[in-house]
Amino acid sequence: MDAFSEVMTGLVKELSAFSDIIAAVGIIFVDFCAIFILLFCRKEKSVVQEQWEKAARHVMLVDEEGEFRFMPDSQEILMGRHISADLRFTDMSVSRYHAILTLEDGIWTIIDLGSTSGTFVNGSRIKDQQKLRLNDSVQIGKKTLYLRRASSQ
Amino acid sequence: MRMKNGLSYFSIMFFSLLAHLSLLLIVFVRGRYDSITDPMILSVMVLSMDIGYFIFLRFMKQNTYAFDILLVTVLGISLIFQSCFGKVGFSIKHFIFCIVALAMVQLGFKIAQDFRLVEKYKKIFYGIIGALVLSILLLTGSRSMWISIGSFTIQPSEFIKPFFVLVFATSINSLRHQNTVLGIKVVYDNWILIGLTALIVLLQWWCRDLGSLPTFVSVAGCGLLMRICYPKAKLSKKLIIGICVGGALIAAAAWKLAPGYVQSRLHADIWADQYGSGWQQCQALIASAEGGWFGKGPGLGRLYKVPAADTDIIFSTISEEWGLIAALLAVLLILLLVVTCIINTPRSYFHTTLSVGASAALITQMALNIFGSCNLIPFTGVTLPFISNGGSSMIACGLIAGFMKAGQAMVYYVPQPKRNPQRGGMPR
Repeated sequence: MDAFSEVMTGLVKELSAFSDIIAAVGIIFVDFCAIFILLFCRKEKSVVQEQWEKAARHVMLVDEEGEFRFMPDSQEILMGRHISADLRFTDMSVSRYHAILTLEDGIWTIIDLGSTSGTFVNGSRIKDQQKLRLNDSVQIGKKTLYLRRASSQ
Repeated sequence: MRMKNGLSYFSIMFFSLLAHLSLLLIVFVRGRYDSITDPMILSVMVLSMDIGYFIFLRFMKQNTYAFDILLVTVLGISLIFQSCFGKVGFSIKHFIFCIVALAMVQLGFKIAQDFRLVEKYKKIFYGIIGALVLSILLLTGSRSMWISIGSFTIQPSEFIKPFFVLVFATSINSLRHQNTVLGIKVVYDNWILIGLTALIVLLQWWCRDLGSLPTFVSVAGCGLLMRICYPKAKLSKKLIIGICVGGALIAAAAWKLAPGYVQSRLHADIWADQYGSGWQQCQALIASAEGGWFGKGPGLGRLYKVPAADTDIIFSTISEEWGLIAALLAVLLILLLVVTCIINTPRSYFHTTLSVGASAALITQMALNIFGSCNLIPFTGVTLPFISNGGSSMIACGLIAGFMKAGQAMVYYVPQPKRNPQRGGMPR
């Protein structure tokens, strides 16, 4: 132990001539660490997305022609005409805050937010929270969307 | 090292260790110590904490780990800083606080990862806040925020912060159902939270300790804004103008009606009374200037003799011994904790509200500490999250960080597909 201490003391004496350079290099290493961790967060994002897709059953909303596609990316999807809506419609038959799609335990449900024209699931106007199944149709204003498995498209 | 999410974290763990090793090299070369064994013990303990936590993470089932690695990097740097003030040694007290903070991160994560659990036990969280408020009223003595037990002092108001952040994220679903009282649409939970904020403001006013008030107000402000915006940005121009005008009026009234001791702080000229009430801040500013870009060297400062050098004016103490760049870097690392929440955005409104509240608490506290040390705002005497010495602050910040982590690594309930013969074998 004493021998090791002596070696360390000698080494430190040698390095003390470069103390300012060591201070700068130390700070650069901390910088590098911060940048690498941030870059790694982006890699983690793809893992989180994969986990999400499993939980959300990898579904998407499409229209009849298949021209419109929407992948739900959070537990609550606001549908409406308002600029802040996740799924935005420009059609005036849609209320600004029309309905919310919610994911709970892998089940997508829809709830109407008191819209003027109402929300219809498989042709029936919903009153309370309504569970959605694959291939169910959701009518918001004049627009009809279908819940499909994303991988099948 | 491959974690449970399938990614290898070897590279960032290596860089975290390298960051600590490079700072420890600065301690060896530029530090003041009696024997070479002092920095050697410090090095062993810092690296043990890193490696120990990395091994612990190996057994944890999470979606993300980068937040934890960033946090242990911050805590390692904090341990190095705290062990070098005055003379290089090993601060066992701060080491224990760092371990406690890491444990609290896991506890906060477990509490907040499932919003239904928080919803189920929200009355308990309100109860904890009530009990802490009562403990301040009954146990702290005459109008004080501190409870003394022998040589230990506890600050219950610090423990209120994480639970305060948590309750603002509860009952999000109740916001869909507004009740009409006297023709006005109200949400009961929002008014309970406004009442709670008013109670804490009054408590701080009564205790004549307004240091943490901006932190509570910022958490409440961000939390209420998120709640008003539910489901998404339901904020009209009238409401924005109303909030701004209301906030400005409250701030102006508080400025005018503040008691004498607050007024003296608000209008204090520290240089006019540099040997009296302004002594602490004057010394902090002089020491920061003396430190320059790279500092005098670990253990070579003189600010450690000033009261609260390792808590309230720690930014200046670090600036003096390690230099302004290192002090700013430590602050940047804490800010990166918030940035990770922005990269890996939460996927539920509960976790978004929680992350916003937690970020508001950390950023406000950091701003108060740093700007207070630099005399840009009145000196408030709050701690720098994860860097300052103090168990109460470490526990509170650990829990808050745990909530932020829960937003990034929330638990998803992956459904098991059930075959339905009536629908041609299609999973329901």
